[in-house]
Amino acid sequence: MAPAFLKGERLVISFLPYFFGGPKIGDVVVLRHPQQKNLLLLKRINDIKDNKYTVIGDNLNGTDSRTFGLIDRKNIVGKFVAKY
Amino acid sequence: MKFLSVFLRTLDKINPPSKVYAHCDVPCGIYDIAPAKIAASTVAKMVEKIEALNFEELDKPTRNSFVRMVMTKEQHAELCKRELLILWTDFFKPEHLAMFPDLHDAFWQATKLCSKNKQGIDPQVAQELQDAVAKIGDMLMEAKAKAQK
Repeated sequence: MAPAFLKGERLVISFLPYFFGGPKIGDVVVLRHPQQKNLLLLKRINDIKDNKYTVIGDNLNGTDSRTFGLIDRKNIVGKFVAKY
Repeated sequence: MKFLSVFLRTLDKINPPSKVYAHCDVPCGIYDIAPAKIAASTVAKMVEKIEALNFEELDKPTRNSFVRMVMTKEQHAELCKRELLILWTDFFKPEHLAMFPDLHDAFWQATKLCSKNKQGIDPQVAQELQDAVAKIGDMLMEAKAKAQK
């Protein structure tokens, strides 16, 4: 996700913004990998269709919806809010 | 804002934050020699079975078996090569060359043996491929063990 997010940066991730409306295109979110529940990924929402989310990394050499497909809302842990 | 940052970092010392990954290899850092080993063993098994065929009586079922065995040998030699290339290009990094100076040669020889097993039917060459894959498996285990220390 460079240069927007660099290795070692600390991020505040919150689900609160999604109490008042679902994730939107362009949001940077933390999600659980659909096949590896313990693996948390940072991706950007690229498209939403029928409550299914397409997530893409800023750099096209990563693993994202092109490899693991669309993800459900339940896989989204929270929205990126701030760095500290 | 700076106060908030200091506060959050202090909290992190008490309750460390979760790690998230922005990039991961498929299948997310899982590198194993097992698929290459199984493919190399399959090649060896096919060579053994082809050698056991009775070529004096080439009836239809025997010809059918022969074609299927050669095809399986071909496919698994290719699969073995691919699995080795994944380890070579994705898992092993320049720093591993210090641990294994013959790393590139080991992969080069092993992948060449995959091709050689496609070209012919030779139990000796099939065994050499299994040995080469086992050697790379040892390197992989050693590299992983060092990374965990």
